[in-house]
Amino acid sequence: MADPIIRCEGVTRTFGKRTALDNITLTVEPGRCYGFLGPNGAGKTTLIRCLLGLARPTSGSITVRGYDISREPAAALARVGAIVEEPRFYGYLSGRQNLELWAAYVGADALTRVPALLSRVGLDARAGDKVSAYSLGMRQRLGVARALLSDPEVLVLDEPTNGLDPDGVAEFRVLIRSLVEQDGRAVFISSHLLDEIEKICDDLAIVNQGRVITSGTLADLIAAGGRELRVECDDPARAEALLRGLPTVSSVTVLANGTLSVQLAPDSAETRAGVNRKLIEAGLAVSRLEPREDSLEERYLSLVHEAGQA
Amino acid sequence: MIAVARADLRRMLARRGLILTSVLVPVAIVLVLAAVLMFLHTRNAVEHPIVGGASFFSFVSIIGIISVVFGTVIGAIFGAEDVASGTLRYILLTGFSRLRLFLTRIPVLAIVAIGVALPAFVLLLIGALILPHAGEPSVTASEVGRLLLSLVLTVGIYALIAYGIGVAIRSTGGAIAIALGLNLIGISLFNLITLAVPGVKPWLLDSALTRVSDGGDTSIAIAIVALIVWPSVFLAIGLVRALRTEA
Repeated sequence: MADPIIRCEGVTRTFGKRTALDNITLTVEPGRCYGFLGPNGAGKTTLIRCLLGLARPTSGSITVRGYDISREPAAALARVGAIVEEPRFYGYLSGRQNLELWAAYVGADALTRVPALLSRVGLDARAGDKVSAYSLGMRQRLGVARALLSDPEVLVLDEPTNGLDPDGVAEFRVLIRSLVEQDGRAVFISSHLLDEIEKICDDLAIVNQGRVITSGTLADLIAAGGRELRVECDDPARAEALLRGLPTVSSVTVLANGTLSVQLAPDSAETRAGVNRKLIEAGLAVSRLEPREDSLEERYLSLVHEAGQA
Repeated sequence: MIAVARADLRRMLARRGLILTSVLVPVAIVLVLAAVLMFLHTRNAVEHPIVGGASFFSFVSIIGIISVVFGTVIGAIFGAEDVASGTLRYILLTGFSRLRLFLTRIPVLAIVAIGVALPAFVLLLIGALILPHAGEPSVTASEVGRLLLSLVLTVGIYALIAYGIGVAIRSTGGAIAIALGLNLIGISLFNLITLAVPGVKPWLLDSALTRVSDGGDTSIAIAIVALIVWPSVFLAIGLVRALRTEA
């Protein structure tokens, strides 16, 4: 496996008595989209500011592209692009002029990339307009273009779809996935929007009150959650009694709408078929039988709730 | 650093409202002065024989006051804008250091602040040379050099002081208010101090500016040191803040 492009080890950041980040440890691999998911005030922006050297952790270490961000910020950030909180520009300059200005800070090569980047984010037709006339979505896209000026190995995006309309969110999602899949860049994205993370990210960490509750691949995280069989039939009460007698059924609950939620042990195609067979043989009319995993939302809510209780 | 300075210069000049106002207001004042004097001269050349010459060029003091105000505003905006508007963090994310950023902007600011004052100065000089001034001494090269030096130093130093204040307090409006307050009210307050402690006077900014451009019997060395120390103090305060502030 390649070296992580971002590595945080035991990162803690306090503001007076308040702990904004509490012993955060995570790694972001190259070519992956990593979601940092948590409610508002969980510490997402604070971590991003620490990752980018805009704030210093109280303790712990952060390396970006193998460089310690505190000791070698210029080397660490040389090929990092970012949007923190919201993309800010000089409103009295056009989109193109803004990019050209930042290209001067990045280096000579960056200037040659400006036209292609404007085209890539779909702003070439409006590049000559002043940024003060841009919508939030356009500024977000210009922010991505700016973040790409240094041909970054990793993009760090803080709540990038905040305030975007549904079309803007969809466009942004396509753009981010193309950066990962076509360019092979790593993207670290913070969000409180579950749907966004589920559709964009490969890996994620869930954070609450400054602590990482869980982390891993999206698929593993969802798979670690609850699985059940949803059953609809013409006599839920009788079906419940029948299924309670099956050795492969660990629990049965009749939901408010009459649907049965069945937990199987083990959950397999065979045990699911056994449920169906039992109900049919008893003469029940089964209209629906659907294996179901916890959604990310359910998983997230349950983890955050558990962490809150702990 | 040169590419960044050039880009920053272009950015400052793109603030058309600010730059055009800073250029055109002093120019308009020169034009109005010339128009009024010409009108009076045309109506009664005997009573108003002189329009141009050294007396017209003496209006440079008005241009100087106005240009200092605009230079102060430009300096304060230049210092405070990036933090106030949230663009500083994106500059730092390019890996460009805070120190380099702070230092790169000093010559850019000086060019802009002095540059916007020069058109009115040149126009005033042209007016002094071409407008009728029979019997009036003409403008000498040494006089032009002395007043140009005075204008450049005054505008440049106040712009740098405002820049230091802008970086330090990080609010464009606040920086403008403080820098202008220092310029307009602070001088009077410092003059009051000199009543109690006369020895301080050569160290005051305005005394030093006057000594360097107009001459006088106080020490030129003290005046030069004062002209270096005054902006340096404010720039140092700004630099400390620039290096420590979280973007």
